[in-house]
Parts: sequence; C-alpha cells; structure tokens
Amino acid sequence: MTPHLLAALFIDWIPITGVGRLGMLLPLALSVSIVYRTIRCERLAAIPLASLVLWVTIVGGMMLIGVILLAIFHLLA
Amino acid sequence: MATEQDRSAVPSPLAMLLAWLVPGLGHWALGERIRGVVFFVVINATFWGGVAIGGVRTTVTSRENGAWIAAQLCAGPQTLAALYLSQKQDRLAQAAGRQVVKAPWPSSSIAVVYSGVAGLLNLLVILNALVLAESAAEAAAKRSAGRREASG
Repeated sequence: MTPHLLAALFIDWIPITGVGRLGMLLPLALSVSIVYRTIRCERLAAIPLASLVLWVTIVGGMMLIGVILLAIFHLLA
Repeated sequence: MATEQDRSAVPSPLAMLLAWLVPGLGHWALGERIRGVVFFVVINATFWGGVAIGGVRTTVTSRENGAWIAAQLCAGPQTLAALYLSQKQDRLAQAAGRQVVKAPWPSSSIAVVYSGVAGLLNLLVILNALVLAESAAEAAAKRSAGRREASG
C-alpha cells in the first residue's frame, strides 16, 4: 500500500447506509467482548469461546431492546 | 493467566504508563505476552477503524466532539498523533481557502464511538495492568518475608 493510499484511508470518510448502520454494531461488540474476556478469563484457551458467547449475548440483547422499542413506538403512534 | 510468582516485577506506575503508551505493552512487560498482543491488536484496530470510517478530521477533534476526546486520549499517544493530523487538515484547508470537508451522519457518529470505545477499553486494560502489578509486588514481598523468616 502506498503512503498516498494509506493517507487517503484515514483522511477520507466511508459512507455507511442502509443495513450497514446496524452492521457496524457487530465489530464494535466483538472488540468489547474480546477485551473484556481477555481480562476476565484465567485460562487463555477459554478466551475465544467466552468472547463468542459474550458477543452473541451483546448483539442479541441490543436487537431485543431495538425490537421492544420499535414495538412501543408503533403502539404509541 | 500467569501466577503472581511468574509475573515480572514491574512497578505499578510504570505498568500503567506502558499500558497507556502502547495498548497491551503493560501486560507484555508483566509477562502476560499473549494478552498484551490481543489488547494491542483489538484496541488499535478499533481506534484506527473508527478513524478510517469518519476520517481523521471528523473523528479526532478537541472542539467538536465534546467529552469523547477524553475517552479517545485513553488510547494513548496515537490519539495525539491523530489530533495533530486532524489540525494539519484544518491548516491545509485554510491555506488553500476551502472549507474543511467533514463526514456526514452516521459515519461521523460511528467513527467517534469506535475510537472513543477503543480508548475506554484501553482504560480497562490500564487498570487491569495496575491490579496485576500490585498483586505481583505483594507476592514478591511475601516471598522475601518468608525467606527472611526461614534464614532468621
């Protein structure tokens, strides 16, 4: 990668539309899961599975909250 | 996790400073090499991923994102480098007589949250390095007290 391309990567912004807005939650939740589990797990071998479980829990929980809020919004509308 | 006896004796302030300077370096110095590498990769990828999404001018700015700059600064001197690059973009735009191009929503918000969360994650890592350094120091003190009792 040339320095010019590398500079453009961090200077220009990336447009995010549609389902991509929700999709951006996935890598962020994965980062949080990995760091949290790397701190908490005693055994290194347990980190990948524990991170995966926490990641699914976070994403599932956020989706559930989103669905509940959407339902309340439709009920009140 | 390495036991207290296995960990390198690093003073707590130094462990915290190293963890702030480079995410994961505090754990590396304490002998937790693999954890240090994991922290380095994940926190840097999250921080610079955020900067790549929103562009450095929109993501790291001391005036326009409120308290997020404090969270971002927890990610270490790389935030200062990004801030310098951001201000340089401002100066270049002013010199050329054009307006600074900023990322629109939602890229701008997502970028700030990514880099801010990276900083907050590094704050957790810094505090964990402090705990590990303190427990290693306590274990070393107990060992030396035990040796003194045995010889005396």
